[in-house]
Amino acid sequence: MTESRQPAPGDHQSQADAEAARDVPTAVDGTSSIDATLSLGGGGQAFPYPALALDPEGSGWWGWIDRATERLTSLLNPILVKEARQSLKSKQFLITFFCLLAASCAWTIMGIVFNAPDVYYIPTGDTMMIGYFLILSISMFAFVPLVAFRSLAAELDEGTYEMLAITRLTAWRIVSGKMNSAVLQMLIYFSAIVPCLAFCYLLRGIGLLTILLVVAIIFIIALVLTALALVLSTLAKGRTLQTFLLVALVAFIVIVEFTCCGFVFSMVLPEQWSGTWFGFLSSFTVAASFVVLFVAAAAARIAPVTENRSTRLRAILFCQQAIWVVTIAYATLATGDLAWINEGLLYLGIFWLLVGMFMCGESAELSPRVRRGLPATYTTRMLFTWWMPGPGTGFMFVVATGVAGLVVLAGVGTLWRQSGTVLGAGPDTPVAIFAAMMIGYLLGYLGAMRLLSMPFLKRLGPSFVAPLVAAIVVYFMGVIVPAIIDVTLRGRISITYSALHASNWMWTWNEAFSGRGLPAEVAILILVVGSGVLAINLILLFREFRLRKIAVPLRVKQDFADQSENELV
Amino acid sequence: MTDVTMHRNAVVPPTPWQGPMIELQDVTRLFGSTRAVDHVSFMVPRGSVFGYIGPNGAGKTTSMRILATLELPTEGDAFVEGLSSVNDPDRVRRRLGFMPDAFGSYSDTNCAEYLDFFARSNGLIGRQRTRRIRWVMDFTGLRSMAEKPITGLSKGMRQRLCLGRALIHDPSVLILDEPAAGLDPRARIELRHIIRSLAADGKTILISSHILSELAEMCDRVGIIEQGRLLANDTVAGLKGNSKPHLELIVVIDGETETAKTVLQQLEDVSEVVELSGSLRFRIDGKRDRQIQVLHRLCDARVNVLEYRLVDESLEDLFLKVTAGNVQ
Repeated sequence: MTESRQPAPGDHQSQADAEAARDVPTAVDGTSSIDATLSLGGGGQAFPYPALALDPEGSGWWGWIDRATERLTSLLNPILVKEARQSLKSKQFLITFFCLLAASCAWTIMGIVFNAPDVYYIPTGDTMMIGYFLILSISMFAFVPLVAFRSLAAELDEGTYEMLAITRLTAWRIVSGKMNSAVLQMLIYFSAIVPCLAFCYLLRGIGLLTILLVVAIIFIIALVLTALALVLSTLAKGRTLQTFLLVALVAFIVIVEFTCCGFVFSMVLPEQWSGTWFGFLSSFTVAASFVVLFVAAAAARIAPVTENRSTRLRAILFCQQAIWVVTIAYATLATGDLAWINEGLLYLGIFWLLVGMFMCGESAELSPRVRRGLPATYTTRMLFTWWMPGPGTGFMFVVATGVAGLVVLAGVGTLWRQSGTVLGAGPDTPVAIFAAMMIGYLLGYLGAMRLLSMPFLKRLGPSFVAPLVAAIVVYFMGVIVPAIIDVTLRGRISITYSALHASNWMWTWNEAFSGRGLPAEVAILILVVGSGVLAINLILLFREFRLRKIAVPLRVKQDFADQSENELV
Repeated sequence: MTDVTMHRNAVVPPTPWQGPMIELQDVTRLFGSTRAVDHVSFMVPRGSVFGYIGPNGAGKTTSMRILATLELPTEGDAFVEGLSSVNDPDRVRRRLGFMPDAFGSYSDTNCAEYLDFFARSNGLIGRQRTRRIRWVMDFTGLRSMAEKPITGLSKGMRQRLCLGRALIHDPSVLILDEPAAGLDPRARIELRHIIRSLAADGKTILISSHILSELAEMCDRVGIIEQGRLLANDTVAGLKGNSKPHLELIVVIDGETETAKTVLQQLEDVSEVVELSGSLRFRIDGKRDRQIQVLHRLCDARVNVLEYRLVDESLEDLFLKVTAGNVQ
């Protein structure tokens, strides 16, 4: 089977090959191959192929460094190593990189030519920075996320993902490998523009910190877009949906590019600058939490259904809420403006209503593999059942975490108000009333959506489509039903807000932020109705909490013991 | 096997697995209303080659994918070395090399990088990894192709690379889905030798193929599947024995055949005597010892027998007999 390879003068490998051939299993070659000595898993000496290390036989420092670098890559994610190798040979990457270099050089030359001779006397760094920002952001926002999208979508489309799935790589490592490879590309693009940024600083008109912040903004937004692209690529089943999602991603990238341009221009031009360090720090932290969430969501999408795909996501969501609560609380304390709290309560409520929709679509059947990991004792069951997969536990996780976040934020607001250091009159709707309204909506709408989607989920199996449709129906009904009652009772739609319109969330939020403020009795009514819906849900999800941990099969224990022994050996 | 031990904290000593290396237990897989696999059960012992044959759409690939942890059964379970591919896919994957019918390639990657990537993905590090890549390249004959881009490989070379990828982590079980598809005759012969060599080295192999004559030569047992149902599961010899209660023989005669024909027609358990050019084909109802008695009768009648042999049924004949040619 193997073609015989004669040592040839100048053949780099031939001598080593000839020596190696003595102790290497003979290649299978026609009839003689049957006598080939097989030594599966053993024998042989280290033999790096030329394709894997530049100069495996090389002596001296360079050879040593080459081999050591090759060995060090064992510590890296295999996907990162593979994609880095592919990128270095890919035409698309090379073209993008040289376009970036060419555009940077062109902008530098144009900037000097058009500003000459003022460039010697007037600070022009800010103008130049705007150009470099555009060049870098277009490469980082457009190319890196789209390459990441295509990379994962192609793995799923062309069947190579299945080959990865049967290796030891977990879904998390596969997706994070894609993410790491995107980060590497970003760093390479960034390295191309660093001299230009240094030149920009030398031209004066822009501070070093502003330059660093602009780069950090580009970097974090590119990360969020790449992570989002990875999630979208896992949703893309079939060419049509893939094209649609790609177009949606491109449209979103364009919007982000324009928004970011406006923000960065205002930063670079000093007279419009209004940012705070805390603002940047909290924005970066929230953005980073979304990156982790998107990567985890993409990993959960491609992980086998028998695996626990939910607990990691719930932990990330929990941390994300903690980051958000701390950020809002600090912003309130720093500015003394309680309006931050109400806006934070609104964001948290909407966030958990959206997240709850996805969680209620999870499979109710837990695989034996997942059931092995269920909490074993009564106490741990009480504390950790919410973290285990399932639509009922998902509902309770969202309700418990969401309500806790809303209560903590409302508590901070109330304490701050009592301390008497609040600036101005405070928000139109007191924080406690606003929180009660949001808790009521969370319990009521999420519970109603779950009740409505349950029969469809039972019939169609786990999917987020049924909860999504149920959510649209429930929110629409919440708005339309008061209007129908109005028309039936009075013959026209009322223009004055009353308790009758409590289910109309749009009007209620508008009322809460208006000068009139939300009446306390309406907030209490919403909370009471929401609690009622929660009670019905609690009765229905009782079965899910009775699931018990099952023992690990004896064969798995034996295998674990074998594995441990091998590792010791 | 699926029983669960209840002593949660018991320390279990390492025990080498003595049971079947591959086992499908009543596996069913539905795609909508179509039963791709319908209550299929079989076992493959260590070191043997199991041929899995059936028409297109019979459920071979689906059951192989279930075993390879890529598909979930609707009912039943599949085991590799006693570990469930449904509940312990990570443990199964360590023992399993899967070669699918479609070759998924990466652009801008050469053979060495491709194998290196899968070696890394299977947790091989340092010298162990380079040693293993070297072994696989030598074993599959890809050494001279190490730096060639995989997109430029011929079909045969791609199949070798695909097999190399399946072997890279030294699995104890190999699942090969149509490995000989599209290969030229020489490559097929080489593949057959590779598979026999691997089996001789203790690997357990489940292989599907449309080239039944080759399966007959390399497989210890054969399973015939149609419309998702396993119709037969036996050794090739056993299948031949089971498929008919009679023997078919050919006797080549030197000279005229009339006497021989008369002798044969007079025998009670001989039927369907057909005259061919210089030979007679006939059927004996009964066991193999009757074969010798018939020969004695012919010799007693002074018939000049040049050749006397059994008409051996090929696996193709058996396959056609067992299956009805239905597809889903």
